[in-house]
Amino acid sequence: MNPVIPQIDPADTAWVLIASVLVLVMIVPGLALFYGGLVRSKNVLGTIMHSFVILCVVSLLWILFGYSLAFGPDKWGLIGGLEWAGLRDVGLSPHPVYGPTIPHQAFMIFQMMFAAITPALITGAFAERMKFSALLLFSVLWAVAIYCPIAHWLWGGGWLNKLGALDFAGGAVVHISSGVSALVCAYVLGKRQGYGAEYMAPHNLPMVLLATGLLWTGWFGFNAGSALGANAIAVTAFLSTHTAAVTAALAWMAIEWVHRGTPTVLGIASGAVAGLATVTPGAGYVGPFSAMVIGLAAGGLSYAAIMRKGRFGYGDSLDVVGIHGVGGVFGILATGVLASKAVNPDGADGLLHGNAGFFGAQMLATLAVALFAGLGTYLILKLVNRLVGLRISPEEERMGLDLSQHNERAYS
Amino acid sequence: MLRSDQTLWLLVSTVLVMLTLPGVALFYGGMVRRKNVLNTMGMPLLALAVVSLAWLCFGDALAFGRSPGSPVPQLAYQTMAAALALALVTGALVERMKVLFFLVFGFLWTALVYGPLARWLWGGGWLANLGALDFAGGAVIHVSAGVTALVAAVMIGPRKGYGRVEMTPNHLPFSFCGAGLMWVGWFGFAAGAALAPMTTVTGAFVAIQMSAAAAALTWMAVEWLQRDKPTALGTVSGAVAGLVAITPAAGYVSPFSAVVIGVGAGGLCYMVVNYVKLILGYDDSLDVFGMHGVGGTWGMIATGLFASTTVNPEGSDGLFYGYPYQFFAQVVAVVFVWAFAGTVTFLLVKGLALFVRPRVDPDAEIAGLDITEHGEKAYS
Repeated sequence: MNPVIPQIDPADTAWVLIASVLVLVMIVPGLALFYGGLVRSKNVLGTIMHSFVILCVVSLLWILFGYSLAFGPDKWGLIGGLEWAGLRDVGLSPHPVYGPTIPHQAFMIFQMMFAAITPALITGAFAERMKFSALLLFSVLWAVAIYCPIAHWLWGGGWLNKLGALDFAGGAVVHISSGVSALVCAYVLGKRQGYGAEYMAPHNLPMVLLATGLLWTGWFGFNAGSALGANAIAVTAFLSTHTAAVTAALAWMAIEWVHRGTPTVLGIASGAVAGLATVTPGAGYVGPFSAMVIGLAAGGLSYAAIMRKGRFGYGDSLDVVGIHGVGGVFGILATGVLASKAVNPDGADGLLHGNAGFFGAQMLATLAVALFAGLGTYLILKLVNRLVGLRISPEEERMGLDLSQHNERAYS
Repeated sequence: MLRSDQTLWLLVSTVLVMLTLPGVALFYGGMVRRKNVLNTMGMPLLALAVVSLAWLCFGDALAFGRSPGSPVPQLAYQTMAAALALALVTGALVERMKVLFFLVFGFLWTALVYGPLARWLWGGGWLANLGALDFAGGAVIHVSAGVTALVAAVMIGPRKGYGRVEMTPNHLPFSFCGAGLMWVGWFGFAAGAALAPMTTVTGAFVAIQMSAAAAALTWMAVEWLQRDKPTALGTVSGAVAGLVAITPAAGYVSPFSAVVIGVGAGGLCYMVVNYVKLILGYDDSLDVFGMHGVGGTWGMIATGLFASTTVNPEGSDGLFYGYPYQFFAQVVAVVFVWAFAGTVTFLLVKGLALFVRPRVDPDAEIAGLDITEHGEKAYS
């Protein structure tokens, strides 16, 4: 990267702030309503609370020391130091690496939204059966012990970053980490009561579709905002994000149509989200036709993964693994194949452009992030189970999260 | 002439503030009973319509002394902010107020209450000259809406059966969605119309986020300790309280001061909504006073405590940064905004009641306002 003299550019700052707002749209109301609509009506408020409370808790952790752990001065390539705890030295003048044309705090709040959405994504895996206190404790520990290191490895000048692995907007940091953790959560918590025997239909699909629209809208901030300025890379990322989403939605629809006879609307929405998740790591490094290939594969792979869920026997209630885990892994690897310096000179050439070393780095990043997130999540769950217990009692599960955990009903 | 990036931020902020109006509509709409959803959601949109016309015709002239129709860049932004204030008031009066009364009241309220207050604090009026700070409307929007709501709710009287029958919210996920949109749109208050440098905007952004998060967690924690279970409605209400309280302070305080302001807002609003309201027995249906009146007052005073010129050299230092006068100016502003909004609202409701009936019939209240005031039903 060329050294740039840090100076605030108002348009770049405006775009990063707008992008931060868009990522917030993905969390509240987006993700909360997405998961809220997919559960049964006795659990909708409890599910909404997961995303909401994670947003609040992580925001506080982030300014206390989370930002410093992820982006602060590098320690052995593994984690950031505590020099920036409490936002010391994180002021309104730019940082030379983290967005040299925007206030440092603008970068900080943009990253805060990423740190908040990632644990919120996991909550889909333990919907309808986790204790609220356990959820809070788990999210705090996960954000600090899993998210911050992984963000540091890829974005904060850590070892994967030094090896040349690229993750434009969070394929590994956000999607692989949350997807693999969701898989572990689903295994450790066990299935919902009556899973497989009773029909657990989503209670409000229009709510899910509204939320899909909000996620899609917000994703432009997520991906195009990661260019950290109102520039050509932001436009590239914007276009590839959209292209992958539409392709994946249509791909999922087509496969389902052939495979089952009718295309479901939930399937089309899920396909769009899968496309968005999968293009995330490559968004700023690939052109629109590569994005189309990514979207096509994303729709197919996620569909196949969710179809096979029954065979592996894990109870990932809302398919976090199938969409974010599978999408994230494929997206990171596809970036290693399709990335091109012609699209983004600050990026790298992928396998297709004759650079096998970069593909290797992407494989290593996938393995490292998946292993670390999986193992770490397992240990955190064991610890939380020891401290407060993970699951609500069978009677409470029958009653639903809303009444048992929050003493209120969603509808009357 | 504005620079293009100033115009960009002004336009984006205007859209974001506009987004708080459907936010308020959903937030309130989810909390009322099924038979009143449409009326409740329609009120904020009517407020937007009425205030926009009133603001163009004379509100802006009253507040900023500009001749009506003059092409001022901030005009649209100020319209949205004024509309939000009136939209908030409706929450105290829903499930019983007549639409016609609200329309006339809203039109006059913009002229007689909101316009003068905007003049005092933003238009170079006497409170501004005194040095009182109100970054984005803690007094002008929230204290004025909250006090108006309290006075009007007391005068119009409680809903039929208030305190005796249970009034359960019809759709809390709507309320959550609305609160989420309010949080999102609130970033339009990060120096929306001030044409401030982007550093100030960024600081205000961080402050808004931190105050909302801290207030939500505070409300949740207090409820958890006191009542054994944290509710979802309580937690999102906490976030709204935090947004309100940071409004006057956003551009002047550090991120950690914003956290303290949020904690104070969550705690204070929780106490007023859950205890003071019950002790005094007024029926502020959706807690407009408890959230906006109390949160706005706390935010104005907190600005006098936590403002710091190291954060924003255009602002001032508060009491904790060695300038007690700022605290005094904030208290004076709050006292006069309370007195003015309360008195004028009292006179306005009294006077209007001679010509227009404020309340629907008891029968209509039982049947629900959707069918009696609008002739339609929300759900089938």
